[in-house]
Amino acid sequence: MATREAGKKMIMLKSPDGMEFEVEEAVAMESQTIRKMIEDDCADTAILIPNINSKILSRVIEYCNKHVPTTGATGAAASDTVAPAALAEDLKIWDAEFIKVNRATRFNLIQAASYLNIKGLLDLTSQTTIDTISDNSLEEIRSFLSTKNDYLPEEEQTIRRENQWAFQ
Amino acid sequence: MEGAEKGEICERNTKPRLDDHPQVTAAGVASLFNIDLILEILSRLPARSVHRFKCVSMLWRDLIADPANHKKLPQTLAGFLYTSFYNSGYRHHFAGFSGGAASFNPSLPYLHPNKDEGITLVDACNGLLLYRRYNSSRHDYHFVVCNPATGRWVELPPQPQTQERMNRLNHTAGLAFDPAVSSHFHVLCFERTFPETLITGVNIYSSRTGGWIHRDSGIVEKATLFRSKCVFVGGMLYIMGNLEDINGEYVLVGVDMEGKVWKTIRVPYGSKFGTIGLSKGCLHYAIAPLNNNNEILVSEIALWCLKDCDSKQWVLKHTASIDTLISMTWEKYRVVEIHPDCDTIFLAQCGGDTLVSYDMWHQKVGCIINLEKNSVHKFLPYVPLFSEPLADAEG
Repeated sequence: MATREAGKKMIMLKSPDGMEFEVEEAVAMESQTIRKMIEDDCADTAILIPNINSKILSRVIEYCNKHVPTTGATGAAASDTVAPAALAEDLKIWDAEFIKVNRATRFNLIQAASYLNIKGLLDLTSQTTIDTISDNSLEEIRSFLSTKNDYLPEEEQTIRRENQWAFQ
Repeated sequence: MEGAEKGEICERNTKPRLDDHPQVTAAGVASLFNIDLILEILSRLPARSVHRFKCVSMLWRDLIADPANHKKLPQTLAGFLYTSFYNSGYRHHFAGFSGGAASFNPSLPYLHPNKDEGITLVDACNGLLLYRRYNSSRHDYHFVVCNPATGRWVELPPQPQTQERMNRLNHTAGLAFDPAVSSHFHVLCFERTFPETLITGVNIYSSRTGGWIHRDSGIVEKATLFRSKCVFVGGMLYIMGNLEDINGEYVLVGVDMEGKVWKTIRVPYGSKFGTIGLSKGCLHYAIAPLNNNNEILVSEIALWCLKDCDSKQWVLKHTASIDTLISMTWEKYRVVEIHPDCDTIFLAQCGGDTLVSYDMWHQKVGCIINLEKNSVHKFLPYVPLFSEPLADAEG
């Protein structure tokens, strides 16, 4: 794979607010979107990441840094010395700390993970939201997501009747 | 993602810091939570939540109903497949709910039956259907598995036949498929003696290997099987059976996809027959209970749940009196199906042509569906599957 051959090749990521982040290629390639750009040779100089501000991008990089499969200088897996179960447990604790952010940051992270196609981060960020909303009442969801109820009263009655089973 | 730009919060900081959070207004949160995000979240929720959220706003309703998003979002029960008897033959029908995701075309254009051929619907499992196609001039039949939502289908090779098994019946078959676990499916065809109909073994087709294997029955007791529906859960296929030795008690017979693990699970009120189904990922059993004098209470229904197939312990979830329904229509009903996502059951009018849903949670009669005349009261629940390609399919 390109990562191994390239060793510690560095990649420049640019946020739309003008910040530049130098990251290892292997770390950047945790994002399937960036991986595709690199593999298609579209990443000669710096990659501009649209729509993701520097604050969110730095957090995404922090996540990728932690989650990139660790390899030593010789290319041998560093996990030879640490039990995989212990590594996984460590990551879980780290993830739980990482996701302790406010709602706006979390939505930004979901959006970034979705655009950059980083499955682990997307699972982590959206799961917290799912846990919050899956059993909530409609009013709570509307207020949580600041969504307006635009149904006329009779329309709402009809749609509620059609989906009554889902309110058990 | 272009649309997201408007809602983006521009940071004034020139240096990124990990410990600061943007202070946003409610409107900011709303615009952040754009359509892509809503879909991303909805795609990870259970079907029940998604359908409840249709009521959040018109935008959400339209997003959930949009066929372009069907692949992404979890689907729920769209209706039932059933047949009716007509001119000495059977016709296929679909009884759908209003507001359901998919209208199902029962004319089966992708199965191309010609005048010598007939098709019987055998089983349905998580969006795939199992049919038996028979040729009356050649006196043979084979199984066809298809996904009506994508129009893809696959014809299975004939089952292995040996001399000693020639006189065995193999009419009871089931489909085992769970797209959350694998895109591959299994078809199990139980083999029975004739005329006693004792189960002797099973033929198992795997779409991964493309071949059938035969396994002898692993049940210690003498058991017969009914040509009832099958339920696939936890890697095992369950079907209703009857133990010959112990007062003819009804049991669930389960077998794994290797044909190696077999089990029998006694059902509540074992001396009479109920309906099995899969709901919220667990085996359910709906039955009209018995009173203290061992008489059937026709006006009551009990819904039992088997949370853990290994413990074999049934938990009573709800009982409901359907007195009101009976007094309204002066008809008798029997339970025919259980909703896959909630505690709602479906009752068929005895000798009639209507199907009634009953919400056990709210204790309320729900929708009433009119069936074709002379319908056969075997209903297969259909939950469309838009996303998964049928492994090795044609069409």
